[in-house]
Amino acid sequence: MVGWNMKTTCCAAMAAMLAVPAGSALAASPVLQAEQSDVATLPPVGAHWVLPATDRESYTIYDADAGRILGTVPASILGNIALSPDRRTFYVADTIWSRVDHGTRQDLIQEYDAHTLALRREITLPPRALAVYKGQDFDVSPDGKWAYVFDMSPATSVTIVDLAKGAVAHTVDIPGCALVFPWKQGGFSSLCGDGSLTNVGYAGDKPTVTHSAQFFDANNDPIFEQGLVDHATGQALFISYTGKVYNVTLGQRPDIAAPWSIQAAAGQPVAGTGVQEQAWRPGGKQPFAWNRASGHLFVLMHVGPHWTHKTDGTEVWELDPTHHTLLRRIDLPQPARGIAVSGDAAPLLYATSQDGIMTVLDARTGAVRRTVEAHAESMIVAPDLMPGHNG
Amino acid sequence: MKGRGAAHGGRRTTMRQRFLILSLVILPALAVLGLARAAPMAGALPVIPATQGHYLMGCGGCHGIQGRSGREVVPDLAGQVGYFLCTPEGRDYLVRLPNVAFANLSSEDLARMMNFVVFTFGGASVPANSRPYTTAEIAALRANPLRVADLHGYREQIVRAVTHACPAAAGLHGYDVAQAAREGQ
Ligand code: HEC
Repeated sequence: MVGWNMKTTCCAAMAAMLAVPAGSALAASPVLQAEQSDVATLPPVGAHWVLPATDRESYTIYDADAGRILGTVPASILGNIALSPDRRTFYVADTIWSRVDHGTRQDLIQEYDAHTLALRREITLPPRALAVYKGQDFDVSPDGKWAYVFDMSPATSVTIVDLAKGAVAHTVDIPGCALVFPWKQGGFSSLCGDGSLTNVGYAGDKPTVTHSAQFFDANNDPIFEQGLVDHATGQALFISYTGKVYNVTLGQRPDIAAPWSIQAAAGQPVAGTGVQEQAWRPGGKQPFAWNRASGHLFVLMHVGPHWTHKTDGTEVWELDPTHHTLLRRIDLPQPARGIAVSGDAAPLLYATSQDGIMTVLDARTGAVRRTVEAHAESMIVAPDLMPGHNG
Repeated sequence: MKGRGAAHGGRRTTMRQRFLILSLVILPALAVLGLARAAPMAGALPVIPATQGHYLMGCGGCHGIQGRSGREVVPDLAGQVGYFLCTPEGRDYLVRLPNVAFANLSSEDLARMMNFVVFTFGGASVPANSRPYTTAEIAALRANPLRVADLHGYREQIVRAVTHACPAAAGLHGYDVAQAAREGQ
């Protein structure tokens, strides 16, 4: 029992009960055995593991191939999760009040062993930004040394945590900017309200801060907060409300390519900013996913006018961000508010819907593999398994 | 436009409801401030001047509809923001703050709003003979927003000089002290 949280225990027990064949109840009356408790361990993180935020109280770990729950990591509706690059640790940045909904506020990172889900350590933080399910609020540097926690007090800053020491190393103010997008090494960038990026280099001493030129129109065609980063390369994809994609190499001097249009890639007119202009547009609460093996971008799309960026998507479009081409349109069985995709060459696409259902699809054909009543929230995490580690 | 059908009518109702909700929240406060204007028609709702509207939309959420906020979380504007005009750097600071510089307003509208913020909310804290901001001054300042990795340290420095010039401004330090405690520095 040591190190297991209650939810995990109860689910494991239920799973054990369900495993008894239905027919066995009819056999001769059983000899009751004294129950033996033990501590189960998980195998290394698999390519087809997926972690939807569930019931506002945890991230549930699924093996999407087997359609089986493997465990749960506790996290409130304000909690963000990240897997360490060596795949041995789940970090959860969360905020808890001593009397649940009032009392003393505690902001912290909780560190869970990825094999046993034992709570290993807790790191106290200054007040972090409180946002419901936003992966871009919290991340771990690709070398596993630093955690970046976005704060909004409401002045904006980022708390850099030294993960080896388990202590806050530095708080960097990022006035007028928000969120964290880690570089391949040595820092992170944030999106700013004037349409630029601020770039914070940090290797343990004084931070170096630079600013990019303005590259997007924050008032008329803003970039979604849910931009994507490939931790192995420091490449980022930022997508605007009208569907312009900016390929960016993050760093102290980020390299920002001219944008391309999702609609143009599909042979359609480029979507504009008209409040009555119907077009296919990106939207949802977690509208983007990136498959590492192919480099393809997956976007949740719906038909609507400008400023419908939170509308659930009815299709997922698979795009090649290098050649700016549309490869496939996947018709979803029901509208989805969030998507994720596994990183491997036989990718699974995960879609969560308003009613808590998580649909698992074969990303190469669009065929539905499984429908899970997961009580899923909008956020869904397919761990970014970087090459060169196997946990 | 009359009798165009159900969809049109429905939409009109929604807009009116929204306006009512906005009015209910904002108007009592404006009335307290003496900002509410005489109604254009008998029985109609008072009109919120555009400048105050810009403030309410872009700033009021953090700074409070009357320029009073949590104080330790967001500095009060009411009764103290005028002190920053005691030094040239303090005057510039108010506009170079990204929340101000990046406002979705033309420099002309931003100048009007900042003059409202500083002179109306600031009240007695504004030093005698202070000039209002001009459009050109706002345009130049907002083109050079603050890009500092330690904004609270920067503010503290500004406030120290302001307090030196105008000792009555000492209360401005309350925010820095509270922020330092929050960040554990
Ligand atoms: C997200 C919350 C937020 C919004 C929106 C916001 N501010 Fe602020 N404002 C702050 C915080 C926090 C500070 C303290 C500066 C710092 O971060 O150190 C501040 C400082 C100021 C100051 C300087 C006061 C001082 O004592 O330092 C002025 C003036 C000001 N804001 C005006 C505005 C105006 C005008 C707007 C609208 C265009 C606006 N703010 C929008 C949070 C906000």
